[in-house]
Amino acid sequence: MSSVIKIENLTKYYGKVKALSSLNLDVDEGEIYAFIGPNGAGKSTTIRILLGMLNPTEGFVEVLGEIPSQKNIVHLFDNIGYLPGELATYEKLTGRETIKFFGNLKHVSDWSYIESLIERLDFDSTRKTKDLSKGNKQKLGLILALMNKPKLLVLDEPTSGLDPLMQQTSIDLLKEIQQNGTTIFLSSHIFSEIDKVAETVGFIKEGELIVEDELDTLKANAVKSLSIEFKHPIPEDLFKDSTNIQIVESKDTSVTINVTGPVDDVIKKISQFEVVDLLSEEASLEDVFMNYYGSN
Amino acid sequence: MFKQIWRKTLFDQKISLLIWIISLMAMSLLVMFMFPAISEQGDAMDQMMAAFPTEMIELFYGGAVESVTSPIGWLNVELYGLLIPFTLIIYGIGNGTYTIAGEEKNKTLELLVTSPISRIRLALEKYFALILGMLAILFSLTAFMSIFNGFFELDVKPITFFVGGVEVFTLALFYTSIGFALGTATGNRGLSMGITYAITIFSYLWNGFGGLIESIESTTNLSPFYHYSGLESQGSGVNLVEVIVVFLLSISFVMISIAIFNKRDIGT
Repeated sequence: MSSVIKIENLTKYYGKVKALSSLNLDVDEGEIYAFIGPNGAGKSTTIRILLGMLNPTEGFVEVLGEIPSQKNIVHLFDNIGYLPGELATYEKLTGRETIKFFGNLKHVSDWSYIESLIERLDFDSTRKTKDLSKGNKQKLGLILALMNKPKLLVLDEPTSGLDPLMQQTSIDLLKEIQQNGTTIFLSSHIFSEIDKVAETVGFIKEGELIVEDELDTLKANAVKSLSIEFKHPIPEDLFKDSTNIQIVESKDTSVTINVTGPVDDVIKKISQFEVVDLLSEEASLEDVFMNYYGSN
Repeated sequence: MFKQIWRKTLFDQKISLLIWIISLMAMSLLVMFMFPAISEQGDAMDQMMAAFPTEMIELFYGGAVESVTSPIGWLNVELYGLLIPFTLIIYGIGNGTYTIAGEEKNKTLELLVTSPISRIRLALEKYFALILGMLAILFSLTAFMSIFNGFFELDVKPITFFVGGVEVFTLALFYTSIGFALGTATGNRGLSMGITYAITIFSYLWNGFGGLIESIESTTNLSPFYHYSGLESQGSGVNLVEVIVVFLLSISFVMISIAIFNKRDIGT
């Protein structure tokens, strides 16, 4: 599978401030990659370099097999859709006029597809953009990003400001688009959104990629909480020699533990005793995130 | 309407353009309306003007005034000397510094530079729209003056207004291009506007005070205002060499700034 985004040793300084530090990242064709990090971590800087708005200080990026420059940017943007984190619109134009203007710039030929997006996202295109709520502006941004049926979709906080129903519609839309072969690179703070769509996740902190893996693997290796109730008291040192187990609470016949990674060792140990109940809480992406940010 | 950036840029300005045009027309109407009363004053007004030092007349009326009671003298003193060129310069600098730098500050530039259009085309279309806006103002004013001046006993020929319009345009183009170039190259509208207004005022005063200060008198021709003569130029017509020099300088500023814009970071 070929890389749609390739970032190598990417470093960016704003004056003396280091925004990105030797960032390496690959996004394969057809993948949904979520880029997660707190404000100021370097997410937007990375996106802006990918889209040719900023020049790297060191290193390079490749998008759709080409290094973005003003020589090839016109051709590249025929195949890229972009939703900025903070969509600024021309306030004097209506939603429809905005769509028409950018549709013409993006050489859109399938206007019926745009109409279907408008309908699906329930967007009122007759109002001036200055009168649109944050959620409606976000809908407009999504339509603008998707209108040219891009091969690569770069989204900064795609469902921010949308109500839960519309969030779900947008997520469904992104999944459909991915199934049609589009690669999606998104940055987000909304863990539930990433949890539903992302396949690969990269955590960025202070300009450095601190971890990158498939979402399922990250979650499988994350700290899980297990509450076990036994019929009879268990030995106090049952989990003593297990390095991936931390006892949170222990009583005569019950124990709550945090397990990092596979639970195989736990199962083997508790199977020696009669288990009345076992409650496992799956680690959420937020838990994974907090775990990495806490330990780093 | 929304097929090209220059069309949309002009569309955005439609109301503001209309206000500029109507304001200038209203001011011009008032000046023309006053002319019959002024011309009745005859020599008294001219003698009053003659009492001022030539340099002061140059400074406040933008050029030598032969007779304030003559139609061209009156229009020059009240309109073409300072008011019209400065109005167009203010329009040009305001819009010229906004067209890229303002959009960058408002973040609307982000969607434009991530569309399949080169930054060179984007900037050139914006500059083109700016020039068209200036021409729309001047063309409307020239047509208005040509049609209505006869109603107020001015009887100035349309060609005189046309030539005056070319003079105004050439002068305003120079400062507008500086404003556009600074805004495009730096992305900082406030700074660009400040510097361009400073250059405009400095070059205006340089020309105005040049005649009073012997040591700089020979350098006043470096100021674009030195070469500007408003409606007076109708006798000799437009100085093509001066116009070409200003056009070349303006285009050079714009091209250099677009080359910088093409390479620089956006929205930092």
